[in-house]
Amino acid sequence: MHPRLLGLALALIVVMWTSVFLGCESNPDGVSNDSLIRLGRHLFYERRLSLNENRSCGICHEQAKGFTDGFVRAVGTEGHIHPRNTLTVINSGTRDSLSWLDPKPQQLSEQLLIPLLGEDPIEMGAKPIIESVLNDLNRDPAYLGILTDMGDDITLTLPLIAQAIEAFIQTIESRDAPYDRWVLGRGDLSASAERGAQLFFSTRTGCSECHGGIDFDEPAESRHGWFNTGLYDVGNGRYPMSREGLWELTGQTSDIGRYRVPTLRHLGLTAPYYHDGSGATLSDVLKNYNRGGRLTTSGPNEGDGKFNPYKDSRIQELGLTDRDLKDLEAFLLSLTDARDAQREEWSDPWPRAN
Amino acid sequence: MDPPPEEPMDPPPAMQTPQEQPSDEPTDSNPSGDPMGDEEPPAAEMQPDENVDRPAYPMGPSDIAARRACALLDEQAQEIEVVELEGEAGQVLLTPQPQTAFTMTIPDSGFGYVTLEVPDWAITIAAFAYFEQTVTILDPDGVTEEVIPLSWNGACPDKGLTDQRTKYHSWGSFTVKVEGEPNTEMTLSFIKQN
Repeated sequence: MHPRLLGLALALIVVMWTSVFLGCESNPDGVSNDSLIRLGRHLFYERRLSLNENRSCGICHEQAKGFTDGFVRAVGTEGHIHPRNTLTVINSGTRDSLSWLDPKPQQLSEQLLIPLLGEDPIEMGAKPIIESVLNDLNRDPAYLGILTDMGDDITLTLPLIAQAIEAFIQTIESRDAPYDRWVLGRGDLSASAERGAQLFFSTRTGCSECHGGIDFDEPAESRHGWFNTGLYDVGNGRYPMSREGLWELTGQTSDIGRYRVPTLRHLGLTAPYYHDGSGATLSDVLKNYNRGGRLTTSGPNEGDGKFNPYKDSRIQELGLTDRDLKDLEAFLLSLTDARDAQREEWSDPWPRAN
Repeated sequence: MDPPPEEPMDPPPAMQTPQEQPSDEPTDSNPSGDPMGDEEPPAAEMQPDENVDRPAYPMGPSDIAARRACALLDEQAQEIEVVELEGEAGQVLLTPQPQTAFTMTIPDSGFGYVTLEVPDWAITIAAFAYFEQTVTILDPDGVTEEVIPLSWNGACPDKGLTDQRTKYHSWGSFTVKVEGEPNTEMTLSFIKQN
């Protein structure tokens, strides 16, 4: 077995055993984790937490779409388009950074308050209504039942909402895709996907140098990395306005176009791709990497990212054949566990007419 | 709402549905094969023929979305640049806007693409354009439903504005193909039906 595959197999085994033990842990406040998770699951799908009752965590992080939303870029409750594509929440419990941009370590219970309450852009838009929503939810028999099970005199507060949703999201863990089972000797992969795996981990492509680790989001040098992959050059190495990557936080030109390496798990469910959803298909993404950067032939962002001066030096022409690209795609799709789109324990618990 | 027309609706010449494509084949009545005929003046100079029987408009003259689209003709439109490849449509995002129409130049090829981000489920969105410019919502997943085929905008029948309505059973991003005379200006609005 390839050394990196052996390492992945060992990591998978460690994570699986760790999950078994952590699942039994009680909440420090004396509330059982199970009841906190149950509360969090209901709140995750609670539309009253949005200004127009047309958004919940579970709408922008829709289970059937690998807990993303299928939009090119997310659209908030008031119809504002977010600057970035929605990230999946699957396996977010192991991440230190939870957004495309911010390099600071983030706690999930803090980060989720941004889409809930933030105003630039407005996502769920709950800030002006949060107090009245809390009053309503605390009188809702459905929540009263859950809160009673949690203990005496427990009421919904913003911190409890954040804690509960965090607890639920942390249960959304998935590392049992066809590829994982193959690594552990419990399943088969197609010949194409096997060849794709060899390519992925090879020095010829260098894919795993950035997309390493158990969730294929970990570069060799650190837990997270932010890189310019040559998607745009609208002039002087710039990316489209207001979507220029880490530069938006640091102001350093060397940070133009740098975005966090995303996970490659569940790509079969989470199209479209890239930080701005501009990669319509996996095939397009792979062709761009093979080319050493993307050529945009028309429209407002016309230009050739291959020649972006801030592009990471590892993004070079790869010389892969059409078959190589198909094999890589087959491998990447083997990282998707399609069963996750319907797992009952993560699904919307509320009765819905539509 | 106006009663159904007694006679079959007479659609604008460039009618298409998402499943249909314009025929470029020559016919006896159109020997040039040009779906628009040979001598059509630019859209801005066209006026609906007064001699053509005018059917009842499906949404009537009081329809809010139709009236809003008419009002937008007198307001500043937002200029956008379409892309020429379907795969690049994610570069240009629009959402349904009652306050804004979009104006664009049709590329040399005669067609271009944008992406419509539909923010809610189970909503109907009206697309308004001039009658010799077409708007096609690409729906590979089959989550849309044509509610009103290409028709005249009943709120300003003298403006040559068309009205077509699509129900979206799921929210999401939809590639939109726009077509018209190359290098001409196209004005388009997407308005959510109340």
